[in-house]
Amino acid sequence: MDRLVVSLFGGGNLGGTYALVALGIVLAFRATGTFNFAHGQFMLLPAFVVGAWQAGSGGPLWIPVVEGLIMVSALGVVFYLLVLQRTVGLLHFMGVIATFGLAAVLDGAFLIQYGSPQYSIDVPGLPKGVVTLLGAHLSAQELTLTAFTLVLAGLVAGALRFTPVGIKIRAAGQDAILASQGGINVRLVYVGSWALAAALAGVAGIVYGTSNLVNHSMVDVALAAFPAILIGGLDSIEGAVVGGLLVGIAQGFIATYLGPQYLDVLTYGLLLVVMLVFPQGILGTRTVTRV
Amino acid sequence: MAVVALRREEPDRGKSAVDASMASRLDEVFDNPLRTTDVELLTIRDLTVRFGGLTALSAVNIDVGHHDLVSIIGPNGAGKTTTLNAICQLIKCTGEIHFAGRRIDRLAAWRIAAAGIGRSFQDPPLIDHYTVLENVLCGAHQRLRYGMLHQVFWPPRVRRFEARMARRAMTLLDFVGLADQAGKDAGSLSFGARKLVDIARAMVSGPRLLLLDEPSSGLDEAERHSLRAILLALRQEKRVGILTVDHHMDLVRSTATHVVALQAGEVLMAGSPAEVLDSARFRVAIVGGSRADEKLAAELPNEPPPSDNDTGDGGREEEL
Amino acid sequence: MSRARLLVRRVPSVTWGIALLAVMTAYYVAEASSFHLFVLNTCLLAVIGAVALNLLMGTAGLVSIGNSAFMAVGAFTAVWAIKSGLPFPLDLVAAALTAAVAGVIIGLPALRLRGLHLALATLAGFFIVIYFATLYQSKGKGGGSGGFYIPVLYQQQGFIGGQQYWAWTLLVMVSLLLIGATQLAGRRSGRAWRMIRDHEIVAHTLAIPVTRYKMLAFAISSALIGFQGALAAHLSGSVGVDSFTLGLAIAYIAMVLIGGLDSVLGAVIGAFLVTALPTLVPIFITAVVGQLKTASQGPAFAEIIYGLLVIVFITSSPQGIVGLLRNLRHGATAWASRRGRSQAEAA
Repeated sequence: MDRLVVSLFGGGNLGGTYALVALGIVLAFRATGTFNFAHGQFMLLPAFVVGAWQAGSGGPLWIPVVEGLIMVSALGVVFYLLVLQRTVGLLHFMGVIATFGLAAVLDGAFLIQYGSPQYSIDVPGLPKGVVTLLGAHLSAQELTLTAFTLVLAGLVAGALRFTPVGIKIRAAGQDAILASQGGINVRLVYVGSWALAAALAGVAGIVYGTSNLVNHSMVDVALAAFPAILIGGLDSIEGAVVGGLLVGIAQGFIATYLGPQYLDVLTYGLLLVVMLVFPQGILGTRTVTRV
Repeated sequence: MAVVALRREEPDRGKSAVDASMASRLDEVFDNPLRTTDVELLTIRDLTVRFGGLTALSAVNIDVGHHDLVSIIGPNGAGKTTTLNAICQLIKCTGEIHFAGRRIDRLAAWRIAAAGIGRSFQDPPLIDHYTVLENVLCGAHQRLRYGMLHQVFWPPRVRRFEARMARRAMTLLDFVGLADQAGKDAGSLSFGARKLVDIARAMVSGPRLLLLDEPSSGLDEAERHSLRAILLALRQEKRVGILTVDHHMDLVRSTATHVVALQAGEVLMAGSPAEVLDSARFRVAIVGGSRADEKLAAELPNEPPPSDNDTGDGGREEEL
Repeated sequence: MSRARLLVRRVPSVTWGIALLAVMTAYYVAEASSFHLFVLNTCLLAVIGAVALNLLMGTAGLVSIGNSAFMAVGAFTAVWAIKSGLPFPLDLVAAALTAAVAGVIIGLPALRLRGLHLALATLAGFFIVIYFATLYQSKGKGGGSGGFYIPVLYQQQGFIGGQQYWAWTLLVMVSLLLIGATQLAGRRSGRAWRMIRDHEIVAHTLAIPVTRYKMLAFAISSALIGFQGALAAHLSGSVGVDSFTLGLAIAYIAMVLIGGLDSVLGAVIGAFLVTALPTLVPIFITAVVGQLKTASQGPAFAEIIYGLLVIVFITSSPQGIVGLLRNLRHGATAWASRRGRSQAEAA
């Protein structure tokens, strides 16, 4: 029973991270039609900034957090403006390859700036200690952060669905021409989407860094968000959150009952199955172009 | 959406479609005609196409005889291009389609093309960085009797077949009047020229049936004139059966042997061009329904149809 | 008929590429610096993978980001073959065949997916292959966390001698590959693949069996990449699953893009550029800026540079270096003809 609880909550913790990352990737996808394969690096940048700050001089945490998030949001915006806008007429995978280029640039920059560190992030003020639930020992800090990420993801998704600003963002992502005719500044929406997507990734990275080491392997976490997106539906914002949570919990169970060496292969096997059998996902709408 | 212009076209009297040398070169291209006329060329029965909740085509019947030129006409959204896509099996449909005695409606799309059906498109899908000649050669895939292993290990065989096909392609480019542009990059061509390249590409494999999707749309007057000459030459030389989708009524009048009028996915009526285009029923259904301008509708000609089908004289240009 | 002959595609520029490679190889072999020779050999090896990926992505338009997985398949198959007693060249054949089969399996989603979905499917394929490779490495005889070790080819010739033998061997293999790839990328198969790339639906109406060509593209490119993986195993003598990363796959995509999509010559240029960058960069930076802090910064700077090159080329010259050269040549011809005309007028 305790293993069940551990799987559920451990998976939920991962799920919260995946939800934030997936949300960001879907936002960027709705704006520019590309999957951002540099999203893992977007996670890593603020995490490195915070980790390096804490390992170094120390001081109030909000400074590196804000700095990191601003940096990564600006990066997303600049990348959209300078690069992605120019990929419109080209072969469909050029945008994706551009994000690969960005990932390579960031990887190299991280190596030079930070080397190969093993930072860890410590957020003060979080409840320490252990919570016992049905025989399982859970970290209070992790539970709090899980709640935080899920609530944040839910709030963002809710804002996108119910607030006027959110509706404009969704409209622009759905049909740019109609949206601009309806008075929505589509370019601004896309810029904002990329900024928000990058910021969400940054938050996910910082949260992930509190219970895991901050090093290059964090980028693989972002890759695991792709199955989440496909399960939830490629262009569905709520689907990203739901999918992220589902994939996280599934991984929790796999890790506990089967073993961590099966994580990648089963997660990506699931991705393949979903793509071939169920390509529109749970909540998605866009049709896959079939021959 | 009426473009009504008064214009008299000069009849092309005394000009035969092709001369003898071109005729024999066309023999090289269309080297696999149907020997027997016992089977129909194309028979479509009960063709129905549904997209989601929408019925695009409903129980459509069309026949194309061996050397007919059948034009499908009708307003936008009537299902004309859908019909062509259904024949090519690019979309799912129900019903029966028989081509030269074979039932083809369950075949894979490429096998249908391999059976001898060529297709051109509204927006000519060419490879811009290829030359005109190379684009036409793209249509020769099934007639080039060599494979990848030959390409890597036996270039002489490849060269031989390529030369043969290049000859065919040049024949067709001569036929459509683009021979002098054969070496130009396709991306630099005018829209009308691109359409002709698309049509030449559809013909290079020597098909028995040509499906032409709006071949005249986007062409200027001179180009339409060329197109008409091409279609008439093909008809006169009895090379292929042709099924077109078209909006230009004067072109249809002057080139088609039969006309099928579609409306909202159903066959409204079918017959000779005169029968269909001048029938009251057709005018009321198509013309009266879509034009708000009564005055314009009243101006439509009541004059008798041109008796000489091959020369396309007289009349006005009507565009639906 | 002569009219037609003139207009069909002219002689490919690959002959220049082969000539240049031959000259380079001869020079470095004569120079007998083991370090330079090793870099040359790594570059020549990379050409194989780049040409393969160019065929798949540039010519056939099928995006694959898991290509380092096929290197792993080739390398591990070579290991298994050697341990099973297969003599040297045959293990390369086995590696290529196994990789081809893996390529077809991973390409099966390609039948139904396009674009980004296909990219994700190849990503999934990558992780699945790596899982099995890790399994084999930990369970197989002679394996371990460090990976497998196999005898290095030409080891008997000594250190420098071995590299020299490798250089000539690779030159011959690469030249043959370049000729074969150029043939495949043109004529009937080239036209079919490009129609599939640019107008897939229309390709069906030209009697092109699209599925067959897609599978062939995956099979051929995977076979070549697997072949490269096996060769690399023989060059370095060790095979470890950790060296087959996504970063490596991205490097190959960068090679193809920087050199120029759908160009065999571009693949060669891109392969040399990206592979030699980690070696060239420290030299350049030391000359300009001063000593680098640590040895690892060379590859890091190289990564930044080719990442930037990818972005720059995508935004300004998507046809890569080859495209730039082509534009230069057109510009030069136009300038020359203008000058010729004005000279004629002045005379």
